[in-house]
Amino acid sequence: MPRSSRIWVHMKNAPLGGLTILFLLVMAALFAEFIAPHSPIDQDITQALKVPFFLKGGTLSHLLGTDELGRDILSRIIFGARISLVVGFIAVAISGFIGTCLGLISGYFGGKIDSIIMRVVDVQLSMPYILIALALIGALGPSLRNIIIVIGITSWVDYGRVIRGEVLSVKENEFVDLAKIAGCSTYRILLKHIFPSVVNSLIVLGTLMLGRIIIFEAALSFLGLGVQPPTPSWGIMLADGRQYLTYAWWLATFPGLAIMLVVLGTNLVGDWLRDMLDPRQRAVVRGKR
Amino acid sequence: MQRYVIKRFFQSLIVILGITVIVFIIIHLTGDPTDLLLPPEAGPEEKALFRHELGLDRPIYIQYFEFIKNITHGDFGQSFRHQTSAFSLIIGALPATIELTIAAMILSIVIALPVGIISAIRPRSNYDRIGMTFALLGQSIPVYWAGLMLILLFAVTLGWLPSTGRGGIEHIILPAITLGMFSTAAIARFTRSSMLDVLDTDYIRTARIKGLTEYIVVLKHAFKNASIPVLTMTSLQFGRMLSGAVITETIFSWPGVGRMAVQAIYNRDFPVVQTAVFITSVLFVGINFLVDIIYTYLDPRIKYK
Amino acid sequence: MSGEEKILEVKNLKTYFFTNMGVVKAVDGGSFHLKKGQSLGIVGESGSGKSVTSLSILRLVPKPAGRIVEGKILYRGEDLVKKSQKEMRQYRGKKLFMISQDPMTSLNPVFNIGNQIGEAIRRRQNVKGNDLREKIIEMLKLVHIRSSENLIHAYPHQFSGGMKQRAMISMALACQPEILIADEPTTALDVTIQAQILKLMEEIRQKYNTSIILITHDLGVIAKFCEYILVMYAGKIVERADVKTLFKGNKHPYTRGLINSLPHLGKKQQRLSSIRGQPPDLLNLPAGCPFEPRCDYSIERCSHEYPPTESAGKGHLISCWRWREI
Repeated sequence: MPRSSRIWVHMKNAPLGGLTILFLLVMAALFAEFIAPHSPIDQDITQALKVPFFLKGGTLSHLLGTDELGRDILSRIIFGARISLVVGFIAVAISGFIGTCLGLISGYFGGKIDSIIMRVVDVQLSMPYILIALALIGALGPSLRNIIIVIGITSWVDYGRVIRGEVLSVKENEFVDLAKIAGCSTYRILLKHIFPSVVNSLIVLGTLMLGRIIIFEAALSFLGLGVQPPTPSWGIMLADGRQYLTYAWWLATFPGLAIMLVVLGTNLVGDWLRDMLDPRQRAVVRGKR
Repeated sequence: MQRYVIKRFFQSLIVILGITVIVFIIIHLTGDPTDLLLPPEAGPEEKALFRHELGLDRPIYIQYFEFIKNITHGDFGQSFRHQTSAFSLIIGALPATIELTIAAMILSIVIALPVGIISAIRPRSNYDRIGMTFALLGQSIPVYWAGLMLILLFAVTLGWLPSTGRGGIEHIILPAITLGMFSTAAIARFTRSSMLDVLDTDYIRTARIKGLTEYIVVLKHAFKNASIPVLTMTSLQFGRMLSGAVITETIFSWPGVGRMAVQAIYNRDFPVVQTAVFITSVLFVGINFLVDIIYTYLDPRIKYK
Repeated sequence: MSGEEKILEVKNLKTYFFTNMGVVKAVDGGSFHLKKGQSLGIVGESGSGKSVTSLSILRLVPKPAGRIVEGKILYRGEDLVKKSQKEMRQYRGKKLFMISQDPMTSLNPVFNIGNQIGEAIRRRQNVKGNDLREKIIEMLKLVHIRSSENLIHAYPHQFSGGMKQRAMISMALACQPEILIADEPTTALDVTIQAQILKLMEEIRQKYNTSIILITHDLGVIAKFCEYILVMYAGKIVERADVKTLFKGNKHPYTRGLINSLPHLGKKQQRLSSIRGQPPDLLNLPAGCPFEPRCDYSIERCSHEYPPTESAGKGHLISCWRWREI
């Protein structure tokens, strides 16, 4: 079947909902100052704990209500997108970079190096990642910079294993042997011949990891170990919301909803990308010829 | 078979050794506890003496050996805050965590397996679509939000269930659902895809050619094969649950290792944190080892590798 | 050796696959019959529809893409197309059985051989325990597998390819079917093992008067084994005849091309002859005869009108506009 029509079949199935959510996320993160109706950190005690606009007593100026310090929930959510995305992208980049490098080395060279790296992966996978993160944050101190580093360090293993698997299968292809015969340096082979075959998996994995890392960041912030107030992070908003759960449910509900929608978006888009880009996992039309 | 078990056992030991290295590194990142433990007026000689007593002035590899030696005796240091051995604190909290995790795991499997199997038997039906949509949602909902929303619904609004503490069945339901949500979704999805792969094979066709009832084809022939990768996945989920337990226990004030670790971080009580990391990791390694043994009973091909 | 009783009649069978990329007419109007104890061969390239024909008879066409859209499959007068899956289970494993191409994948890897053959035996008789074990050993003996306690508890991956196929045949025997379909039973095996398996199948046919439908692309196997042969191309049965006529007196250009492309021992050839052109694209079949693009005898009419099936006498049927001149 010609390649162009195959791509078209995939384009037809694009998850519009997921892509819209991600688009909104990026827009919110980039243009928060222009979109948000209020500042996320301005406090106004007189406006504290106002209900969302669709309930009795709510106003249109605070569509999703306010928190205990009178800060507008909607604006904080919009600005929170920026934190989530910043942490998300950088952590994905860090873990992706480490994971890809080690995966490439491990898969390509095999032997002792492979064994050692895989042992490290095994060890790290045996340790519950949140606890490692807790311990590291405890040691380094909570801050935006630190949680990015910690998340990056704990998340590389997922990349490492997948990339290594890809490399192992690509390695057997003929064009690699041809490149070796032609005298290409190892570095060149890795970069120009093997890496491109691996890029597809990287894209799929990166998308899926973005969602998971956003959840991870919010979890750490929820526990008070991540971004520190007054910076608006969805995780911190949830922690606040927890205290007021009994009489101001909207404090916790909306930020969490935002997280869920974003992760739903990354999962939908990631699944779609996987169907499109990763031929081995692509759904085959079931039926004999 | 015995050789396989012994081999896996030693592999597990090596992993545990690796865990000790990482925990050791974390301990050293934490820095010198001298300033934390001594009163602020302590002079430099007192500090030097203290360090010497703790063995902090010796070379790193010696400290590491001391560390290993102590661990094998169950000595993880004293909790800074509670003046008892960190080890005993963690072990004391372990049963609660195990109880919660097992409850969550049972719940997950009981729901996920049938959902996955039925979805696979009737792919693309309404049942399948709804099931898989819920599964997708389940994997997108963060643990902490799920917990809070469940509390909001069942404890605050309806008042049916308590929101904190450990006790009877009514106390464990919400935490178990919260903790198990992601795993239920993941296992359901994976069971479905594993079953679909198996149902497409030649040997299932052979079973059908024999004229066996669909019930037997699916539950005996297909499921036994499909369950093998699902088992791997389930044991991975267990590890994930140990992470999720940290947050779930915090939200529901469930007296387990996770909550203790979080409190310890707030209190800068590092020995407790480190012990928590170590114990839960070893627990996970143990579970994996058991699962590997169960494997050999499920998949006859393993023994001969 | 075959009697005159027609136990299977396939009439105008059309099995199509509905895919994202179009409709594949895997079997497009096939009709044939099978007599008791007869060995029928279906020969054709990959994609000719021969496997799908057998799956259609068993009503195991892969859903949801595949469907029998038209036609009748009469087994002793009962139309199998109209049966529900539940009703079909009365036929499968008792009256009908199929051995597939790849013995490596046809046996369930997590159950031992005794278990799998035992299941087949229990379709017919309610035996358990020691009686069952004896029957299993008996079945294995019939396919010349010397069995012991150990063997019954052995798993498929411990068998060689030939043994696996023999185990499948033993399963077939346990079912005592009236019709046994063998889909490329020897393709995945060495030549020496091939001969063993074919011999075994012939023994079964003689002993139990089982009708066998042998599906293959290998003309040598067909020649050795089958009494009557169907030639399929792109979903259509283009020629059918008894084995002698097919090899010596064939009248369809495709059949002729196939037979001619067999290398001859003892005769010097300059080059191997082959059929020119590409295999058909099942998604884009031409309106007329699907073989037309590759046919040396084609005329204008061939490209837009499919020829009717005509008889050349004595059960020899051809679908070609120009068969009389070939």
